[in-house]
Amino acid sequence: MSLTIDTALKEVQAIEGFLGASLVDYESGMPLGIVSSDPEFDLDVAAAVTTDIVRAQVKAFRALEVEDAIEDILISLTNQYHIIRVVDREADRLFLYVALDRERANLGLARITLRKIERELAV
Amino acid sequence: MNKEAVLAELTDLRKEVPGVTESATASVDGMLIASDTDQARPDVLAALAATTLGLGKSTGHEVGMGELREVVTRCAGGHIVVYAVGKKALLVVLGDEGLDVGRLHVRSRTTVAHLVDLLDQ
Amino acid sequence: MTDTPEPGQGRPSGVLLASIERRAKDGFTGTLRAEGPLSGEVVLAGGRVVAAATPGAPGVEPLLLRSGRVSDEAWSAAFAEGAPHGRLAEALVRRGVLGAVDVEVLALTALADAVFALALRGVHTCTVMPAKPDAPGPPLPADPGLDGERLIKETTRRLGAAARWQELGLTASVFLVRTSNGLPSDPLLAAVNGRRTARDLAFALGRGLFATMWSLTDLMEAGAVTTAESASEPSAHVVLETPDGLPKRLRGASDIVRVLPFRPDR
Repeated sequence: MSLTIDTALKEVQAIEGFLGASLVDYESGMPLGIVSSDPEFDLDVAAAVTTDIVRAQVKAFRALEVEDAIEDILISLTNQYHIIRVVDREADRLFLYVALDRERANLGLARITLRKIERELAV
Repeated sequence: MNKEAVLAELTDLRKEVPGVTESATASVDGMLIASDTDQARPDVLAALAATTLGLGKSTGHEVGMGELREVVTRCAGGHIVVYAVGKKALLVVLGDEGLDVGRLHVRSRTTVAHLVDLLDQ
Repeated sequence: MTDTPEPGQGRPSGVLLASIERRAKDGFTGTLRAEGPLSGEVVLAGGRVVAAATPGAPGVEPLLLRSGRVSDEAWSAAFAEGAPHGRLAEALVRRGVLGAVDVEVLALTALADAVFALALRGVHTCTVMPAKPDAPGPPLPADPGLDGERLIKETTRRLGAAARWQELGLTASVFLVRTSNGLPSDPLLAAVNGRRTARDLAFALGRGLFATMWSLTDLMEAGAVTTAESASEPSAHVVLETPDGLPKRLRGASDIVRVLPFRPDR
């Protein structure tokens, strides 16, 4: 992991309820950086599945001729939140993927933090 | 001249060397003989390649470097390589940024040798 | 020194990945020169992979310039300033040509793409060349680069996807054609012209090989793109000039013969 990608992921790791996160190149599905606090959580699998989700969404919106850009996608599970935050909308290249423990996480706060990190990455 | 065989040489070169996009063969005075082109204007390309070859030969002669092998022009968007085909003709090859120049120089010798035979008729 | 693959359980398949695994474990600094149907180089520093290049996949320069992300002038200026001192990345960021994260992402994705292109085609020999003290390094190395295990994992993932795509008929080197005419709005689809492979399209658009292949499978599944029937079929744009100056169409070259009845030569 590079210093800048690494720094961003460390900031994500500090979010309350953090389970795992990855910065993924949307075009290739390649995880560019991974952090995890749960060894059971296979973030490579998560990154691959998440890339499919994002690609499907982009295709769907294109088919529907929705002009807007995706900011984030939230998946609410019984015990977890998975947030996908698109980074650098102009080049449409990356997304941040974060898994949070639902009980410990404050969703609103997490989203604000991710938006802030995304802005820093998009510079 | 077996026109189809000449064309086959050009298309074979394109298929066998990664990065070759287009090519043409022409006389040394710039008259197009055959081309396997896509976006380039073949007759203009032929004329320019002849000038390039001539300039390359003159420069090589002036600095006493012996026979010309090829003239390679590299641009932001790719490569233009001109080879002499015998004394009276030339081969010009266009390639993208990833052109395997090493492989081209080796493979083109076969193309040039075949073209020398084919164009001699 | 040449690395030869050792058969064994649980080892990465292929000469290239086996060589990367071995050299990464050794903490190697230098270049692995790959030879085979496709050639290329993989550069390691202290056992981490920092760069890779091959004619089979677009490198950093075409990725930036062909895609239009960066202008020729901006790139040339940063290159002239930084590259001779091994500081291209710094120059790009300082001049505001690219952001720091952009540079990192670019270096990593270009390297992974080149290794994928080589592993996909198949490497025959991998020659190990330790770094010479004053030799220039790659222009835009990833810092700190990928560890061997991560790169092998990523390449294996890509090879798995490519194996599935091969069932559709898609490889990096097969010629592709559009199933209908007209000018599509999708730049990738518009670039498919019967004479380009996935590799050629990647270069033409300034996108990664793997990413381009992935997008092509979507187009193939939608029926918009298909592979050319045979490698020896000439493309429709071929014209033969005859000595009397009139261009003659090579019979059978154009797709029109599939639509109209064939008429014999006069």
